[in-house]
Amino acid sequence: MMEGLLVTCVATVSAGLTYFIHTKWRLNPVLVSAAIALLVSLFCESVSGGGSTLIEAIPFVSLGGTFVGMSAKKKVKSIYPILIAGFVFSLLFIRSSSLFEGFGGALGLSACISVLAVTGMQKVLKKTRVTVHKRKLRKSSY
Amino acid sequence: MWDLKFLREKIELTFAADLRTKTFYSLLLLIAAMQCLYVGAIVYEHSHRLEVWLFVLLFCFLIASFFQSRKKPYTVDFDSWRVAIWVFFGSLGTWWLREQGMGVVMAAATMGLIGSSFTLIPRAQSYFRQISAPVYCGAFIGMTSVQSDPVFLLLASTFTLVLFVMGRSLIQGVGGKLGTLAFIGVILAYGVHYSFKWI
Repeated sequence: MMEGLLVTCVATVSAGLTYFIHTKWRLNPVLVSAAIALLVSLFCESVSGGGSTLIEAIPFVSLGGTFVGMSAKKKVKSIYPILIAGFVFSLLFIRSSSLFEGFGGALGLSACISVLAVTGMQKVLKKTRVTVHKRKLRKSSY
Repeated sequence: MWDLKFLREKIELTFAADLRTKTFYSLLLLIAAMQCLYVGAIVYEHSHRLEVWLFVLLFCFLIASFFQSRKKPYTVDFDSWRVAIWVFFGSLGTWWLREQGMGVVMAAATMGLIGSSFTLIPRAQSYFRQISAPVYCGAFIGMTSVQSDPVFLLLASTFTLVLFVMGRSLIQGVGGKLGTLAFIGVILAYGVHYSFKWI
């Protein structure tokens, strides 16, 4: 439970931090992502003593979180969908399939799925809200 | 009088535009299939757990995201192979750093920093500003632990190079696009490797 919570926090914070830095200061998203991932992995290497599984997984989680945060402002307008996508990414990471274990790019694929799912969810909910509002307007006009 | 040169140019333009549109939708279908396969594998493997319904919902929203219409028409554009060729540098550089004893994430992040360091130079040419993405994409290929053979990485990088060139205008601005292209390249290379092993 605590491990899952830590993974979720790391993914969400990495995603939010990456998005904030590259949109606020207009830096290259690759640079920001690589810098954050390198800092976290250096920290985890200095902290880890005997090869804890959780400490070994944290750099991967932060790297994947930074991929979520690399989304452009044109596609994701504010930071809140990024934070939700970071949370979704952590779920995908925790329950990742053993079929794709060791494949390079799986983190990026999970991040892409998270971002697309959250943007898809936003648009579906927006359309649902508009349809409900239109129906209410029609009923009130009688 | 028939202007043959003008006619030939028009046919070539139409053919090229048609080819680009076909490759665009083919690649979109490939990416959608890979993503659905990934989420589907999770749902299949963890079907006995209660939280599998979250992943089913995620799957539905993922499908919904591919059917979102845009107001502006798509302009299908290919990337330059001169920029995409840096994928090889990223993958082999990451592999070499891992061979020297560096951690996986640290090696990939280092290659990403090397590739994006050109963007910090104020007067860098636009060419050098574009190479950070293919280098980072190559670094994800180098993160593969399924096969640590450099020939395998070269094969995967070749597939990813083609996808990178074709997928310039595909899911632009979505985080994880580079990783997705790297993943597909690795999957295709693994398929080739497995086919030869089976034969």
